[in-house]
Amino acid sequence: MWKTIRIDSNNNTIKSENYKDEYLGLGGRSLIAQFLIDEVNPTCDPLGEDAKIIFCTGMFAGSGLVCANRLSVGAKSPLTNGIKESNVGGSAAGALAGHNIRAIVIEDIPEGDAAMKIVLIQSNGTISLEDASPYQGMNNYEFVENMQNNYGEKVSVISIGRAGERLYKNSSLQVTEFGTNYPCRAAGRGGLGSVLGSKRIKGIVIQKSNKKNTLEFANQEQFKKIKKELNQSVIESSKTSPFSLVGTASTIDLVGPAGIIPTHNFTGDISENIENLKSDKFLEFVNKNGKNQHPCQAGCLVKCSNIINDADGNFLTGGFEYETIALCGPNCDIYDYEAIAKMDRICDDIGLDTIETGASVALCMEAGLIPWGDAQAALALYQQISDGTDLGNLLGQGTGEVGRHFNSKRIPTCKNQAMPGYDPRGSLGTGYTYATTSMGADHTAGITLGPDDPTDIEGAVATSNLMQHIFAMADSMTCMMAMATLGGQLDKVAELYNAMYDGNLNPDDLFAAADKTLLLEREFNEKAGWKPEDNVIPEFFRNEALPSTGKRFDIPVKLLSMKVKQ
Amino acid sequence: MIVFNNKAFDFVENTTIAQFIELMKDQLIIENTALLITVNNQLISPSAIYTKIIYDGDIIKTRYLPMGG
Ligand code: SF4
Repeated sequence: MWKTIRIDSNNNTIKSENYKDEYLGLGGRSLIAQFLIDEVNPTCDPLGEDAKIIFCTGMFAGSGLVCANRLSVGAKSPLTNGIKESNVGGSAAGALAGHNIRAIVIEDIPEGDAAMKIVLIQSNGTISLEDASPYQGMNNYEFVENMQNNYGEKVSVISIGRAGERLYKNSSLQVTEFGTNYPCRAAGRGGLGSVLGSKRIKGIVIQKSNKKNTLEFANQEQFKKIKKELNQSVIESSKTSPFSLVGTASTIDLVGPAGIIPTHNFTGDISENIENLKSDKFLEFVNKNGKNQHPCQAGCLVKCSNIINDADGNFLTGGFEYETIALCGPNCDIYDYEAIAKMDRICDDIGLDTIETGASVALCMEAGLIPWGDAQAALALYQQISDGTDLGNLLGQGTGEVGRHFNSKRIPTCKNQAMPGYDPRGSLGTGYTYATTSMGADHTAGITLGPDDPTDIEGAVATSNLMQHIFAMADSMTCMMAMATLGGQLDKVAELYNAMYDGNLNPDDLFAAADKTLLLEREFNEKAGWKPEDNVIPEFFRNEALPSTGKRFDIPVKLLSMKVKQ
Repeated sequence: MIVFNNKAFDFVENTTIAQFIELMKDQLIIENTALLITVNNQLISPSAIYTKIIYDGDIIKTRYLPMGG
């Protein structure tokens, strides 16, 4: 019933394949790992002919389970040179599920300077490659507007902007958001926009299927019953969840005063201006012209997203998240929501990872290129990326490259990927995740943050290992916000799985599946040339104490390079 | 006796960690069952709570699953 769509970008062929039996029950990140290990040579050039980019829906996409319409994008990352899975909400996964599409695999690269193409999936299920040359050089908002004009207002679009077209290593893929239909949701990490760009594909446009939902269930009645219970539990927990009541920006209330939010290129200096970014100020800002509690995808009951309008009431951005705020804001000494929201918009438009870009701009400030805290000067740098100036091209290569260019001694990366919004000295277990995960410095690989975040090495390592499994499980099923409730009901999640896939899983089996995903990812990276000794945290986190706690990152190097006990 | 988040509760025989957590939720001691749980300082996987039994004298601590965006 599920299909895999295989597109050869060199020969312009499209094949619809029956879904492999052995892939049944995989979804999202677990399916990406399996596809990549089965089909991609780990030593390949991430932007070359042997590389593939794969789009997979989560294992419960289209089923009505809360937050299950999540899209995973996977490829060998040109930034980390390892496996990458970056997942995103928005309307695309639901639209693909409506067509019974579980995966799209795009292979090969066209020869020479071929015109770009659009993958068009029409309501009747027809799939074609359309000429995208009129849209080449366009950024995401304009491109999506054109697609809506051509193919209908309600189309779902996955696309790249100029950053992806120029093969920038910090380029994102943008996805249209449920409700607004603006391309403000990002599969941001790992530079995967450039992998699609290398295949000369500008975007994937999906019209809503005109067929009735034909998902198959082993036991539909049972599925419905458990789904209802699980969804209800998420509704209940959302009533008090700060992610629901405020959004992910609520994290600032904890990490701001604690000095865990990155500031001034990860020095951790706490500014009194952090008060400008706390939850009350966020709500004031969002609700002035827009709104919070917006669902990014159909079926979301948590609603951690938002709509930000400009002073004239026009849509500015959406999905304005903690990570963007942290890296583009305080990490650059910028404490002004209006300015940071503009940065978010421009990143989404060009198709840039806000984490990588914010960290790179901070390095420009450290190098004295622009003054610390100067939002206008920072915005001018973002514009340079869009314009493709020499400096813009450098910034497009990611934080590692920018830091090396300026001879910085303080480059906040792991495996060449910028750290997200938690200083590893302030969250030891999260730092352990950054150093050891197959994803490079990535908060979605398993954070340990929160009250009672272990400060002892043993506790931090154990918590990180556990969270790496939980996030691997979440990334295969739902967005992680839903997992914050479903994670306490793995017995029911296993039953749900069995009712859909005719399985016989118990909670331990779900964990074992997450373990397998992590092992496949590690296998890919080992074959790609990653070595245990590459598992490092930049030295300055060991040499400089975090001002708020006096703590340095003190997990021994040897412990980071040991094989992680899965 | 079971010490749960620094408060003492009666020990109930033949009870899994998951059942005990559910009891705590019913008594409004906790709001959500998605937790990182330590029993006697040992971190327990959320998948193991359905089979592991509590013992008299256990010290159980919980924290919400860390999530972020
Ligand atoms: S909780 Fe947030 S990220 Fe998850 S589906 Fe809802 S809006 Fe999207």
